[in-house]
Amino acid sequence: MRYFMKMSLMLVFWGAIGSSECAAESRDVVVVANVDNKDIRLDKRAVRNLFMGNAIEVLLEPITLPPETLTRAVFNTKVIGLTESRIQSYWSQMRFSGRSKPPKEMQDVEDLLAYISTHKGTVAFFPADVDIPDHLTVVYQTGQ
Amino acid sequence: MYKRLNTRVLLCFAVACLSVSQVSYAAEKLEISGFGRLVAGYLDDNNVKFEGYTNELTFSEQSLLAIQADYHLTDTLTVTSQLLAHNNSERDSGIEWFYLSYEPNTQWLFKAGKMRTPFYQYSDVLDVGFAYAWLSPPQQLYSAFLFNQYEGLSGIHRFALGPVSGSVELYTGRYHGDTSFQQKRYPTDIDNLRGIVLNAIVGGNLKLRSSYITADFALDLEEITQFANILRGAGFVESANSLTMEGEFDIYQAGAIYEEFDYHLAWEWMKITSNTILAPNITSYYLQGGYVFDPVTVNVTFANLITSAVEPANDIPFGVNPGLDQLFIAYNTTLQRTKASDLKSLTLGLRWDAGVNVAFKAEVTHYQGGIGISTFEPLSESAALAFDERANLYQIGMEFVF
Repeated sequence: MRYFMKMSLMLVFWGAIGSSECAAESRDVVVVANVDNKDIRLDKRAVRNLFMGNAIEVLLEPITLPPETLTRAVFNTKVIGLTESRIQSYWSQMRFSGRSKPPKEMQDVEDLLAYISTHKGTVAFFPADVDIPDHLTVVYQTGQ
Repeated sequence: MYKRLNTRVLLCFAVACLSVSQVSYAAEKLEISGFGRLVAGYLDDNNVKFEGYTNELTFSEQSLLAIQADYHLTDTLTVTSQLLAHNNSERDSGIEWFYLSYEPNTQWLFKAGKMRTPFYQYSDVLDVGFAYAWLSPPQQLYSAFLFNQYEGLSGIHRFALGPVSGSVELYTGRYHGDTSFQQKRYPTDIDNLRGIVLNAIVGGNLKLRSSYITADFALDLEEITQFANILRGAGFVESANSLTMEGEFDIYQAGAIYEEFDYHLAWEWMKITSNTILAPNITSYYLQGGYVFDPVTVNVTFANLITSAVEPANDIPFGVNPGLDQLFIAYNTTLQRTKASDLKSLTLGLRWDAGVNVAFKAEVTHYQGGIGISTFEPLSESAALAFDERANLYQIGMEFVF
């Protein structure tokens, strides 16, 4: 019974993701890192590879938001370039073949910002209108 | 009996997994995850069996449930075990993976233990239907004909080089177990297994994969081996050797996937060569295209398998005496029975991602191919003659991960 309730909730979430992907087109995200070198800038390809578990020239640990959030839908649409279902499918391949695991998830933007602020070498994406503390570095921004 | 037992194991496993998924693990060192699939299939031809499917609806060929435990001994050392309960009589339920991994940093990963063999793009996640578009990945490449696992060592190096993000994997090991095809199991020894896999992502959208595998192999085909021994005893060494499944094989693979937000294109090709007559050289490929009507994806796949012609030995004379004639006929009949056949298929599939970890699929595949060891198996002698070398396989299924 609990399983079916879970399933129903997932269906509702999925509806939300569908509509959020439409809303995603008009919004932007910033990708923020906690690094000592304030001059680091990444291009879209590097950010995509970073959040898909592929190697890039800078060593950073990506942290993400849950699939049902609008910010993640914006990030998927404008940076990763894949639907959430394709991303989930990809991570199931990586996880169960023992190659890599999906990025750690934080529940909401507040938790994510608090985590990034206190962990050197981490990187995450935020809504473009979030106030970013001075000690963090914006390494990429959509819509520019 | 075996199938009934497997069903019970599957049910017990289902209950255990659902209970486990409810538990919140306080210990950060242990991660529990898993996957499963429930697949129903029906073949619209009453003369043959294909991959276990007949013209009776069955749920038992591909349905399975698996649970994976990752225990982090330290920040860099992890023990991983994957337990799988399968409902297919050709496969054993039990430990599918069991290995120790050492990941000193994000660039290097070493593994030692029992692992799945990474022949092709999806070989090591063949049981994880959620990871790919189909219910049955193209049989021309992903048939259960090959051994699935190996015991050995693997090392992966990830690198970035300008616009390319890639990885190189080297592995070596062995496999001593069974190979199953057409509901029969044959003792199999694979030694000196060595492989290399190259992966590259170019510009973000294009994924390339290429691999090479080689190994020594020996399959005990029981009655065929006994017959070969009779031929050898009678002095027909050439014919006897041609019925021996022992030698070396090489597999070459190449693949590409191009992904955009609303569509993807994929291609994969492989070639198997061996120095035995009984194991024919095979070339297979598939082409796939998918279009996303989020959350539904429509896929079309064309796949093809081409086998090389088998050259029979000719050291048994025909027409000399009735005894030799019988041996000649028996030899040629045996070769005929072990013949592989070409196979073409066209698949139309739908995948509906109903949630972040649940997908429903429906698929119809039209096959064209003859009777052969890795294609269609006739249900009787008369059915073999009646078979028109065409059949449709209908499947529906649910895939999930947790």
